[in-house]
Amino acid sequence: MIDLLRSEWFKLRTVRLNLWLPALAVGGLVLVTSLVAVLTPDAEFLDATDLTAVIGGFSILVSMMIGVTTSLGITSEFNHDTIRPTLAATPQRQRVFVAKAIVSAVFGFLVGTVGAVASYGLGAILLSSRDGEVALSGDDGTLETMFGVVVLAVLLALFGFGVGLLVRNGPAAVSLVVLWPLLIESIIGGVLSVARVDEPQQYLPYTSAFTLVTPENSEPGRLYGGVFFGLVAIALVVLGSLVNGRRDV
Amino acid sequence: MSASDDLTVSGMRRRRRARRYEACRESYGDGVIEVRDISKRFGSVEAVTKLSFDAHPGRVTGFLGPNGSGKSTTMRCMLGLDIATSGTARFAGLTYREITTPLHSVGSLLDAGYVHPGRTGRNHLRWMAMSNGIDDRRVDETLGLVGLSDAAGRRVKEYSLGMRQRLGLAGVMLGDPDIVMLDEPANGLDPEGIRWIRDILTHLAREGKTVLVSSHLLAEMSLMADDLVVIGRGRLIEQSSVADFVARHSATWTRVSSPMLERLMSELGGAVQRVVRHGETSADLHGINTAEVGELAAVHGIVLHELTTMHDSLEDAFLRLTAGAQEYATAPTPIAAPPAVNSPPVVPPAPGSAAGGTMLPPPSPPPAPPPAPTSASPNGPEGAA
Repeated sequence: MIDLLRSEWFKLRTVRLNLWLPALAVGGLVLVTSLVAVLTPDAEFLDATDLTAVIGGFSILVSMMIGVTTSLGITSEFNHDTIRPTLAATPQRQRVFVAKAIVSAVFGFLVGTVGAVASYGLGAILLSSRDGEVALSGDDGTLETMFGVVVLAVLLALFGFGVGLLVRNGPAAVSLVVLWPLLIESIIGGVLSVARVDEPQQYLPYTSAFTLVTPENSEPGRLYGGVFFGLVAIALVVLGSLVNGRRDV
Repeated sequence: MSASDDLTVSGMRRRRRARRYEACRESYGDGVIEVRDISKRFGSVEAVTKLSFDAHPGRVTGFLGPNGSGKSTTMRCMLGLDIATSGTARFAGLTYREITTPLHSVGSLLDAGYVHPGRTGRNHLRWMAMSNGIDDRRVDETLGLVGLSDAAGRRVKEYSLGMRQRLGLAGVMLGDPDIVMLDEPANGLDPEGIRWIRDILTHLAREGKTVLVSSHLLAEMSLMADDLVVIGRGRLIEQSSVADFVARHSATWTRVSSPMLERLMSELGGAVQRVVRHGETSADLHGINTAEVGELAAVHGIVLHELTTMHDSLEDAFLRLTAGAQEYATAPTPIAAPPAVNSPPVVPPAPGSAAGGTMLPPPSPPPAPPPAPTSASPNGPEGAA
C-alpha cells in the first residue's frame, strides 16, 4: 500500500494543473488577507476574529479549488484512459481508489494548512506592525476557525474526488463541485424554507460545512457541519469505488 | 560495504523490493496464458463468445482477427479492465486480479495513447515503477532499451505516435515480466520501428517469455509469430502454428516462365484449371504442379526459365478464413492486374473476383471460396527450375 500511495502522490504532483490551481487559490487567500491588513483604515480596532473571518470566508473558495483539483485528478484518469494502465499495474481496484482518496485528503490537508498558516501569519505581521491585536485564542473561536479552514479543505478534497469518481467526466464533476452549494443546495434550501422547515441548513451538507470556517458558532454548529459533510464526502467515495469496481474502464 | 550491510532506509527498502520481486517470480512459475470460455456482452451485442485459447512460453502467439472481431475486448477482459460476462483468463495459474504486483509477471500494452499528455515520459514510467516497487534505476534502463533516453524529460504530448509506442513498450519491460501482451504494437511505427518491435518480441520469446501479440499487419505476423489464434465475430476460428495454418488454408499454384510459353500452353491443354498471364513469357498455372509441368516441358523440349511452386501468404490465408467473419467489409474493388489471356478451360472466377484480377475479399461470401488468383505477395518459392 505504501508503494501505491507513493505512486498516486507522484502522479498528483507531476501534472502542472494540480500545482497551479492550489497555488492560485492559496495566493489569492494570502493576497486578500494582506490587502485587508494593509488597507483597513483603523488597524488598531481589527482583532483576530476579524482576520479569521476574512480568511474563513475566502477559504471556502480555496477549498472549492481543492475540490476542483481532486475531481480533475480522477476524471483525467478516465478522460485520458490512464485509468487502464493504473489498474493494469494494480488490478485490485478498491486498493487503488482507497489510495487515491487518501492522497486527495493529504493534498487537501497540505494546501489548507499552507493557506491558513501563510494567510494568518502574513496578516498578523502586517496588522501587528499597525498596532492590531490578532492573537489566536480558543476563547473567541478564532483557533477553531483556523482548524476549520484545514478541515474544510480536507473534506472538499474528498468530496471532489468522490464526485469525480462517480461521474467520471471532468466538466460535469467541476460543475457539481462548484455549483452544488450555489445552485443545488440553494434550491433545496428555498424549498425547505417555503415548506417552513426549521433551520433548513441542517439538511444541506455542503452549506452546513461552511460553519467550520465561520468565526461565530452559527447554526447548525461546527461539529455537526463537519461530520455531516464528511459523511457525505465519504459516502460519495465509497459509492464511487463500488460502482467503478464493477464497471468496464 | 556490501548491499546486505546497507542499513539505511533506502537500502532496507531496496532489499524488501528485491525479496518481494523474487517471491513474485517464484510464485508465478511458468508463463502459460490460459483463456477459458471468455464471453463479453455489451448490451445486446455479444462481442466475445466462449473464447478459449492458450499461449505458451518461448513462443510468439499472434492474435488475429478482422476489425471488430473482439481482440482488444478479449485482452481487456484478460486484464480485468473490462468485466467478462463469463469465463476466466489465467497467467501461470493466477487470474490477473490475484497478482499483487503484476508488472513483474505480466507486461501489457493495450494502447500507446493511455498516457497523460502533460506528464513527461520518465515520470509516466516512474509512477508505474513505484506502484509495483520497482527501482527508479530500472526506469532509465528501459528508457535506454527503447531509445527514448534523450526524450525522457519531454512531455508526452510532444511525442509522436511511434515514440508513444516505444514508451508503452518500456512500460511493458519495466518489471522484466515472463508474460508479454501487446495489442497492435506496430501501429504508428515506421518500417525501422516495426522491425525493431519484431526483433524485440522474437528476442523476448527466445528468452523463454510468453508473447501474445495482436496485429493487423499480417505480413509482420508471418515473420514473427510461431502460433496463431484466429478469431472472427468474437469466436475462435482456429488455433495452430503459423506453418500449419498456412498449409491448411493457403492455395498453391505453379509459376512458369518460358520464351516458348504459347507452345507450353497448347501442350498443357486441359491439364490446367486456370491460367493467369503475366506478359508474354510468364504465367501462373492453377491445378497443376511443378513436377507435371517440368516433365511435360522436358518431353516436348520446351525451355523453362522459371518453374516455382507459389502459395498464398499468411494474409491471403487469413482473409480467406475470416471472410465470413468480418463485421465491416469493403465492397469488392478490383486491383489492377494483367488480364488472363489464352486460358484453356477456365474455371468460373471466385465470388468477388474477376478473371485474371486480384480482388479484395468479398463482404460476406459463403464459407471458404475457391482461391482467387493473386499475383501479389506470394510467400516465397519452394522450388525453382
